[in-house]
Amino acid sequence: MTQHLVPPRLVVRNLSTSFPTEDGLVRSVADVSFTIQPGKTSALVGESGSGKSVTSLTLMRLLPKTAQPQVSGQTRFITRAGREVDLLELSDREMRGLRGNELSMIFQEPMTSLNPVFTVGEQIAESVRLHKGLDRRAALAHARRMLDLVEIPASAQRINEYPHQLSGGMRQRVMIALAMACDPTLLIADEPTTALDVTIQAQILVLMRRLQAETGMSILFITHNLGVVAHHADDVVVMYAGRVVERAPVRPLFAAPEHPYTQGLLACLPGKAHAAGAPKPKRLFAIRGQVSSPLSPPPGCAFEPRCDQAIPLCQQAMPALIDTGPSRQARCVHVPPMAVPQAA
Amino acid sequence: MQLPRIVRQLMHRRIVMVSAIVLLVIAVLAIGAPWFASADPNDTAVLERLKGPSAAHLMGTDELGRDMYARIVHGARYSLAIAALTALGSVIAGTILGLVAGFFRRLDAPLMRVVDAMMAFPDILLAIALVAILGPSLLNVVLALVLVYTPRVARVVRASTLVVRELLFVEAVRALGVRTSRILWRHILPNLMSPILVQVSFIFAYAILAEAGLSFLGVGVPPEIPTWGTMVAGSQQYAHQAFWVLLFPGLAIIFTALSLQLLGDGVRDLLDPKLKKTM
Repeated sequence: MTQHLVPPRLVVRNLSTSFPTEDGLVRSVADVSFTIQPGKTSALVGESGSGKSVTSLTLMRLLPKTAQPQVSGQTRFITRAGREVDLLELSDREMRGLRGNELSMIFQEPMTSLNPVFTVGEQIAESVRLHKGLDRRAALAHARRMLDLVEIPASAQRINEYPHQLSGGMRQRVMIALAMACDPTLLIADEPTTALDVTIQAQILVLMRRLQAETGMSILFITHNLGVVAHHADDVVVMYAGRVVERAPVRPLFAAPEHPYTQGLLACLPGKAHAAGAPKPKRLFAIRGQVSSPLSPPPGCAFEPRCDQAIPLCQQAMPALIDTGPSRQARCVHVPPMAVPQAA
Repeated sequence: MQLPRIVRQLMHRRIVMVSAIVLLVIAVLAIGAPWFASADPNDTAVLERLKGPSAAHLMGTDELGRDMYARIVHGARYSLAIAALTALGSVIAGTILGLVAGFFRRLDAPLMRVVDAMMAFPDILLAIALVAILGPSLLNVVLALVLVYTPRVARVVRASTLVVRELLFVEAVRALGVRTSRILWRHILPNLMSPILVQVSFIFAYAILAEAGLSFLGVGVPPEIPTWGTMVAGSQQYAHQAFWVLLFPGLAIIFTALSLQLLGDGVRDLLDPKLKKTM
């Protein structure tokens, strides 16, 4: 396969993040592995509390130290210059040099992600001055170009405005401009459109795609919106209770989800069952129950208590994440392993 | 900056405007004291002692025949300077303390317990004790008052820091690779300006009263330096025969402190969105 000839931008292997709490150790992210190809978008999908955001914050090393996170696993990130680094092993200083420069992040809440007392131009300029060493004038000129790039009209005027003078969609554009200011190689977008109107969501997504095509950056897209995933992702990683339950390229995943959780998520989409030829349902499908407490995980498969296809075997042990096809993996006892034996 | 809008809004409020004008007049008098009061404030004339207000002595003379008007105008320099230095010193020290305590959670408890301990003492008592230890001089009065008011600022700044540090933009700038010290000074501190500004005006007012109180009790500024406090202290026993020796310095203290307090209230009301609706 040709895509394996290019080394992936980021490889994450067996990433685990735990937090000590008064009631014991909570494993928010357990044994997560995935890869992101250069210029491609990988989506991290899952419901609230499935560990998506903790995964991204672990990669950015932005977890609060006071939470005493315990992180294990390896990552291999290839920088612009072609250097291979492990994000988890870098010194704080080296990591600071990467953040905003090679690795950028867009947050969910554009309303509070900007500093209210500085103009948007100053905020974009700060990042450029920090990483590219530009002087104030050059940095502000660059900030203006960035505002043009994210299609903010009247950038010359907007650059001197404060965040409260901008609408939510505008602010998210500014956040993208801020994240893109140093031309990052990997953009982590943590639910970047969740807080926006649907029409604005679409605009922001189109914008992100255009910027990706222009700059060739990789995107780690964190979302629970499967519609967005279908349109904008190349690979999908479905997480449940801190674990990867299914990994697949986007088309095969939507065509034939293998894990019962993924199947359930897709069935929750309005119109999905109808399109499949079934009679139009009166009610939307919902996965019953709720995510089990991370403090007392079920003994076997984490999804077993909510799974319609559960069998006694599911309660005994957590199934392994097995290869089920070319670049596909799933974690379920029902899914047969890949038929083709390993090549000699 | 949003300053012009705030200034415009302040103009609309009469009390704030009056306070500001009173303060402006006092400040101009203090700065231009030699021009506004040509008489030497320390020039004694025993024959002229305890004379009532007249054309020669606008506010009368005190027990040593010194011109009261000259003393009040020149005293304003000292009183305001002491208050200004106190406000400045305690705001700088309190801001650093509060910012550090609010941002670094490990330092929070130890720093704040010290602050609590200092706040457990009544203000004036602590100031008296400190001046008694340091010895009475202009600088030591300022030093003592700074120590007294620093904990107040530290508390307010810490509380505001706790709020601001949780805002998403702090995480966002961290994600841009900004170092902690820069986040603290460049990103969090500017967001604390309104509570700090309010504290400045209040401490200014408290310091004027406290200096007067200390001087009145004889532990403040040495009596030869004309401050409003030393004037009240020196003349109190003559009040029954010459009311003006107490009245004018007293009025100066009251007007200045009251104006500062009202101005501070006005600024706080405007800057605190929670109070805005109740106005």
